[in-house]
Parts: sequence; structure tokens; C-alpha cells
Amino acid sequence: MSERTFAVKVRRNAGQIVLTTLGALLAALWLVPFGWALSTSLKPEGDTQLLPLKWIQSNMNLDAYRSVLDTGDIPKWLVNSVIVSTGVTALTLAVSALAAYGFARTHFRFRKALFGLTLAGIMVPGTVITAPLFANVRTMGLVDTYWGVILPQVSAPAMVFILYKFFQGVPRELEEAARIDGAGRWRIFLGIVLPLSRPVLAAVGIFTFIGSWNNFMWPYLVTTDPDLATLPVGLATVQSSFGIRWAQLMAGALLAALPLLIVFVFFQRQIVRGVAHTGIAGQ
Amino acid sequence: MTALAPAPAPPGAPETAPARRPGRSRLGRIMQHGGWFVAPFLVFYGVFLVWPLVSGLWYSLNETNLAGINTEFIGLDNYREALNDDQLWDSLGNTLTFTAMLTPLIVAVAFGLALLAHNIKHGKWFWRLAFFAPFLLPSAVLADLWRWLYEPDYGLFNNALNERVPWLLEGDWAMFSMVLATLWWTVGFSFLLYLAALQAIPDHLYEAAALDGAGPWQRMWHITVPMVRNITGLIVVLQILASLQVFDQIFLINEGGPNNETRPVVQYIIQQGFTGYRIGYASALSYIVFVLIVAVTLVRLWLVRKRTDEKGETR
Amino acid sequence: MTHASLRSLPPPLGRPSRRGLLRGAAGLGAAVALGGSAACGSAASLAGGDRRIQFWNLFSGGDGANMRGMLDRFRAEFPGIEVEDTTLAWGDRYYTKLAMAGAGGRAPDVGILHLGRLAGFAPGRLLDPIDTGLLAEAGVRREDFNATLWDRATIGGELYGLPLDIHPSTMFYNRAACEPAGLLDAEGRLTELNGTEQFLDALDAVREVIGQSPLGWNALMPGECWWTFVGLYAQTGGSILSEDGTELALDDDRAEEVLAFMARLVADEYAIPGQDLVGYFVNGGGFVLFGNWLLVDFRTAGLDFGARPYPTLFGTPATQAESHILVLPHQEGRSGAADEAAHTLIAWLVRNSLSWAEASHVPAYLPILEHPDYLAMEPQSEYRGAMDIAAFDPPAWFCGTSSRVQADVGVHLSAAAMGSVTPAEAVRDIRATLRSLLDTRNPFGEGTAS
Repeated sequence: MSERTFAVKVRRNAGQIVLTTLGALLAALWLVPFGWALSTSLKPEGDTQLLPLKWIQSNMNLDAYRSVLDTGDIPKWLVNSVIVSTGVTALTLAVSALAAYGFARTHFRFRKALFGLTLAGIMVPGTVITAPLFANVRTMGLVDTYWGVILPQVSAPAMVFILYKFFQGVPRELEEAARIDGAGRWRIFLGIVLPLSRPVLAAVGIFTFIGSWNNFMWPYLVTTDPDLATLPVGLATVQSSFGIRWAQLMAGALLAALPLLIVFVFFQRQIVRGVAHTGIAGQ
Repeated sequence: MTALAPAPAPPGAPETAPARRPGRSRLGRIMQHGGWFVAPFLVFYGVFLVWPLVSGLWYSLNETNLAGINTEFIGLDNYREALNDDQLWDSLGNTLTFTAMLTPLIVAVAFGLALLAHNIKHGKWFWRLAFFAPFLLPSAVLADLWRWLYEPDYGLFNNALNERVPWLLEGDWAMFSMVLATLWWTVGFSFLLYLAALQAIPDHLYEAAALDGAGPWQRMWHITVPMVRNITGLIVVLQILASLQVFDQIFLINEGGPNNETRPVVQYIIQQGFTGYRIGYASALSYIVFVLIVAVTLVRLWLVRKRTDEKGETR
Repeated sequence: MTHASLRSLPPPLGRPSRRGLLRGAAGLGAAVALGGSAACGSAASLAGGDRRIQFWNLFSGGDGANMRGMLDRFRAEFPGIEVEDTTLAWGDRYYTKLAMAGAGGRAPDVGILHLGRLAGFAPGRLLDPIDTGLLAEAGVRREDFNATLWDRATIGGELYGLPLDIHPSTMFYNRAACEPAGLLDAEGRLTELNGTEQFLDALDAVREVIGQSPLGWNALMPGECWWTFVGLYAQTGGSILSEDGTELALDDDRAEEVLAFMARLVADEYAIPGQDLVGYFVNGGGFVLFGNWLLVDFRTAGLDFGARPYPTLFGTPATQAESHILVLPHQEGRSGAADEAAHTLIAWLVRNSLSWAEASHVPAYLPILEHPDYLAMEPQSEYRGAMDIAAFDPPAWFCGTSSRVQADVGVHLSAAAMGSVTPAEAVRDIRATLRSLLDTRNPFGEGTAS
């Protein structure tokens, strides 16, 4: 080993130390809001507004979590969010995958025109059509129903496009071979294309799920029945009560944040890939 | 999501002439040849996207209310009213200010964080988790956390700074506070995009540059930045489109206050439609904003096309 | 949906204390004894037909628990009437839903509305009139109510809402802070403060005692500024709109005077905007100006405090108030046993509103307002006088709880209070805003006309 490579190595290590320190500082800064919420949530309610503020004190406990879980509706909202997000994700995946395959690999009349129309839909900003959408959902009698929350979230042209791009990349030879073996279009789709597409389906699914899980505006507008409130809606309406109890508020916020954070830890790879796919779609 | 030119038809796909079967309707033939695949999506698309767009146009020409009674055709009156509606233009101005402040910040911070995370050898998962985690929060949680941080008397920020910063109390500060909270919340997404782009840059480019004696800054300016240019363009567009629709966090943190100085245009539309019951007027406002957003998208498409034409690249 | 709406919601209240519940139950006994025969009469007349009634309300939290308790007692008393109650989210979404139901003619039998919203709710179209004859049979008459309140719920000669309560703007005072400042009388009640100077002197004295800003009042909130303005402007003897709610009647000088006073509260740091009022009071604050329902939070915190209507700062006693009214949303062919049962229910609810009052609202039914058990409630009975000096929102479609006026006019009031515009500029803006609201067609139309 020459002296030069050794010097490079030392310098590299020094560089790593500097970078890691900087990274650690920034990460710490980034985690401050979480940390402060955690600290607040562990304080007795009467101590949250005691000055000077303390990060850690001796009488910390789980009372705030207990009262949130005992008296609050968080479990109910959680169930609603799971129902809505699962419904949206399942339907979006099914409908978008079918359409993407249809656009990528079949040849019916008006296909191109319809695909163009679908792509144009990517431009439509969802929040901007909320008012007429609400009026229509009212006409359909879906206000204050799970369907009214779920169905309007299913129309996702962007997801169709991401899947379309992927299906285009699936080697045609595989399909041809199956066709020669006598497989029909549906069997090819279900038996060959879908299994090959698991990663991109996971990516699209996870992103749809996150989007739906965190959607606030639509469920907020379309539900009045508190029994249908999703987690974001429930949290937002409860926080509007007077006399904010910060410890409980922070405990509730952290509990509400937990499910997706856990999902992220387990599905980190797929989520990162999902972001990359969105990138592809964007280009 | 961004606007796209229709993709070229898949190469090497021979258009096999569909065999005609007597007694089949035209629709039947379409369905048989793949129409069934796209039909479910088109139903959703039609009912929940196209129909609202079309009916919204009709509503906007009427004095339509939330209950759907006593509707009256009024032609362009709603649009006329909107053009003279200061509240529309003020709130639109807020949305644009928010967009203009946030977008460059997101690009710079996301790129910086991604560079950092990319170049640290160990603990990749940790950096990803730390910087991306806020993106996973529901807006209501974001609002709770930051309202508490910004609290004037007992908030962490003012106590750490030992000063009474009017985070949410004065218009300019409040807008800045919204941008700051949103930056923290959403930068993780762009951070991941940059991270993926950085990982896709082949190492040999850097090695070759290093052999040519290029220092780290030169390598960054001459290799990294150009190589992620497309991603930067994408992030800018996604960010602009998302920011133009901003609503949740501003509404939930301080409901557009103080003095409506942070109220975004989407909130104003919702107020007209749902607080004031005026779906017709809200639809007219929606259309005005919609046209502006489409215009932004089209300008962007045009710019991209022009650039690629000039360079003679097809990307 | 506005700033105001999320905040000015009907109060989420804590659970009433056990003692309170017992007292409430005792009162209930008395009330039943009082009107027992009439109630039995209507129960008997309901021998046949469909007696299932749907009741929509927007009460959650402690209010909701209270209402459910009352309904359980009603069910026990009227086993022949099946009440199906649904609690919906507060604010815009509730009104939207109720309006949609009324428009479709498939509405619930009974609903709750804010009085201020009545004018905009197409009475006659989205709401059915209440049969005062049936009410009288159940022992409820106009004489049992404050005339102003009853008449505000009457449109075109028909009664569209039966008032359950009023919830006034209140001034809470902390005894520990007021006592050393010499502001309490022998019974521990706040002495009368008349005129702005006397009021500000009292605030100064309290500031001396507690060493911090003496008043909890959030000038940052358009809704809260609106309430304060409605009350204080009424004290000048003026009204914001004409009596029929179609013309601007604002007097610029008086409005400016009120706004200058509101701005002074902030400028001289009597009140710090953006404060969490409960946090402020719990940490030894002096006064709080807010709706009566904060009482529950303060009581939960174990504070020694009193509460009274706004002090008279501009000559005429007045305090802003809203009211929960029981309404009959529009149904095709409302009649028969279910309709009678609905009347029985609303009459029973107001006659048994003693336990409702426990959670801080002022009962609208005068026999309850004068009931010994109510008079014994502290500090509720201390602000019962709000009934006689209540200043309601103007009777226009854009007024009432979480309405356009709260957001649109409130924002200018807040700007003036915060000192970002002068009172004169704010009054000009308020005029322009009210003008444009008046020029905007009532979205649901004039109900009775259709």
C-alpha cells in the first residue's frame, strides 16, 4: 500500500467524520418537532406550560396517552382510516392496473384518444374541482357514506401512467410464448404480467395508501357523521375544542403518526422505489 | 404529477386487424379487443373527474347552492363578480407567494440533504428515515406539532430563542412560518427523488473527472448538477402544482390568519362554497384557478419542448 | 369552515359533576310535576301511528353526553316514542347536511340550528313551521320565553325554532386576582364596572396584582372579534343592519369608538393576541372574555372564578349571544303521530333544560331560568341576566355561528384590534364587506316565498 492511498484514505475518513457529524446535526434538528411532541406528551398536563421549558423532568408518565385512548375516539378513527385507505388502494390498484394494461397492450378503437384523455387528467388539480365534485356526490346520495369518501379518490390517471410505463417494458416475448400456449388475454395479464409487476404495484399501492391515509380535505367535507371520521378529520375537529390540552394533543398526534411510520420502517425499500417511479412518471 | 405528452405507440406492435364477426356491435368489438380493461377506470374517471369538470362549468353559470334548490341561470355573472372580487385576488396572491417562497427552498434543501445522505457511507436507512419521516404525517398532526412549536408564550421556538417572535401573529411572519412548516413536512419526498437520481449517476464519471484533477466542487458543478437536472425540473413542477393547491396545513394551523394574510385561494373557494353555500360561485372561482394552473403546466411543457429542440436531444 | 367556524363551535364541554347531575335530577322531578298532566295528555294522544322520530344534533363532548342523558330520560318517560338521535360534526358541515336533507324532503323529524343561522336557512322551504298549538298542549307558550328571543325565531308569523338556550359572551374573572385589587364585593362577586375608563382601571389594578397581562381575549380570531363587536356595538345603542336585515345601519362614529377600544386592549398590552385562553387563566390570568362554555374547562382546572355578562362599557347594557334552537327540518307531508311526537320531544327538552344549564348554557325556558335549582348553580346563575340584554347577530342570511359575516367582517375587526389598520379604515372595509354581502343573493332563496 502506497503512502498516497493511505493519505487518501485518511482524508476520506476525516471527510466521512465531518459529513456524518453534519448529517447527525441536521437529522437531530429535523427530529426536534417529534422529540418535543414526545417530551410534551409525557408531561403531566399541568406542567406543559411551566417556564422555563424542560425536555426531561422526573415526573414524566403515560397519563396523556391513557386519557387519549380511554376517552378519545382514536381507535374508531383508526379503523375508519384503515377501511377508507384500504378500499381506495385496492380499487385504485385494480382499476389502474387493468387500464394501464389495456392502454399498453391491447388494440381497440379509440384507444389512443382515450389514453390522451387520461393523460390530460393528470393536469387536473384535484382540490380545485372539489366544489362541483361535492355537488355531484350529493346528487348520488353518497354524502356521509364510506363510498362517498372512497370512490372519488379512486380516479388516479397518474397511477395509470406509471403502470403503463412499466407494462410497456415487460418483454413481449413472454406474452407471445404464453399466447402460443393458448393463454387468453386475461390469463396473460393475471398470470404473467401482474406477477412480474409486483414491485411497481407495491410502489403505486403504497403511495396511494399514504395519499389516502393523509387526505384531509375530501373526507372532511363529505362526512358529517363523526362515526365516519378518518384519523386526520378526527384529529382536526377535536383540536378545535377550546382549552387545548397540549400533553393529550401531542400524545394523540404521535399515536396518529405511528401507523405510517411503522409501515415506512417495514417497507422502506418499496417506498423509495415508489418515489423513483413517480420520478419516472414525471419525466 | 406532471403533464405529459402522449407517449409514442409501443414499438413493434403490429396492428392486427380485428377479425370481424357478424352480429357484433361496434361497442362489442371495442370491448372484445381490450375495452374491458380500461372500462372500469374510465367509469371512475368519467364520474369523478370529467363530470365534475363539466358540471362545474354549468354550476358556475348558475346561482347554484349547496342544497340544490332555487337554482337560477345567471350566465357569466359569477365570473364578472369574481373578476372584481378582491378576496379572490388576495388569496390567489397568498397562494402564489407561498409557492414562490417554498419551491426554491425545497429544491435547495432537498438537494443539500440528498448530497449529504448520499456521501455518508453508513446508516443510509437512518438518514432516509429522519428526513423522510415528516412526509408521512397527516396534515392534522403536522398542524398540531407546529402550532405547539410556534405558541407565543410556551412554544419551544420562542423559549429557545428567548424572544417573542410573532410566528403566527403577523402576516409576513405567518407566511414564513407556513413555508417553514411545509418545508419540514414535504421536503422528504424531493429528497428521496434526488437521492435516487444521485445513486443513478455512474461512478466512472466521477473517477474520470478525478483523474483529470477536478476537485469536489468542480465535480459537483460539472457532473452532479447537470446529471440531476431532469429531476430538478420534475421537482420544481411537482412542487409548483402542489403548492398552488395548498390548503390543509394553512387552514389547520391558523385558518388563513392573521387578517387572511395567509389564506390560500383553495380555502377561499371552500369558504364560498361551504360556509356561504354558494356552489355556483365557488365553481366559477375553481374554473379561474384551474385555467391558471393549466396555463402554468402548458408553459412548462412548451419550455421543455423548446429546450430539448434547441439541444437536439430526445432525452 | 372559516377561522371562526372551527373555534366558535358549540362548546365541547366536560362531563358535569356528579353533584350537578343529582341537582339536575331533582330539578327534573320538579319540572315533571309542574307540567305532568299536559305531558301525559299528549302522550295519550299518541296512541297510534308511527312514533319513531329522528333527531339530528351537533352536540359532542360534554354537551353531547348531556343531551344523550336527557334523551334517555325522555325515552323512559315516553316509552311509546322511539327517538333515534344522531350526532353530527359541528359547523358548516352540519348546516350543509341539514340543508341537503331539507331540500330533499327526507329530513330528520327534529334538528338543532343556531338562531343566527335561521334567516339564511330558508324557513318555510328547508324548515317546517312549528305548530304552536301542539306546543301549548305540551305546556310551552310564548310567555315562557324572553319575547325578543321568541320573536327572532318567528318569521312571517310562523315559529321556526324553539329556543333551547342562549350562550352569551361572558366575562370570567379570577377571584385570586380580583380580590387583592379590591374588585370583589362582600359576596365575592365582581363589582359593577361601568364605562371604558373604569374597566381599564380595573384591568390596571389586576395587572399590578398578577404581574402579567390582565385580560385573556384573542384579537387574532375573527370570530371572537365579531362576538365582542356585536356586544359592544349594541352597547352604544346602535344596530349593524336594519331590523329586517336588508339595509346597512352601521353608525361609523360608534363603530370606530368600539374598534378604538378593542385596539387599545391590544396596543396597551391588556390582552396578548394568540394566547390559549385556558392556559392563560390556569396560569393565574385575571379576566377572560369568551363564550360561557369555557366555564367547564375552568372548573375542571379547579379554579376559583366567577362569570358575568360583558360589563357595560358604552352606556347600554348588552352582551353578545347565540342560541340553540330546535327546528323541524322540511319533510314532505309532515303530519300525524310522528309530527306530534316531534313536538312532544322539543317541548319536553326545553321544559327539562335544567341539566342542560348545568353545562353552562343559559336556559331559554323562563320557568327553568327562575328555578331555585338553577339559581343555586354557580357561576351559571351569575350571568343569567344575559337573557335580558342579549345582542344577537343581525337577521341576515350571512350571519350566525361560523357564518360568512364572522369570517369576512371579523377579519377587518381583527385587523383593527391588532393595529394593522386604523379604526376608520376598518369601518370602511366593514361597510364594503357588508354591502357586498347584502348585495349577494341569499343562496337558499327566501324560503317563505317559494
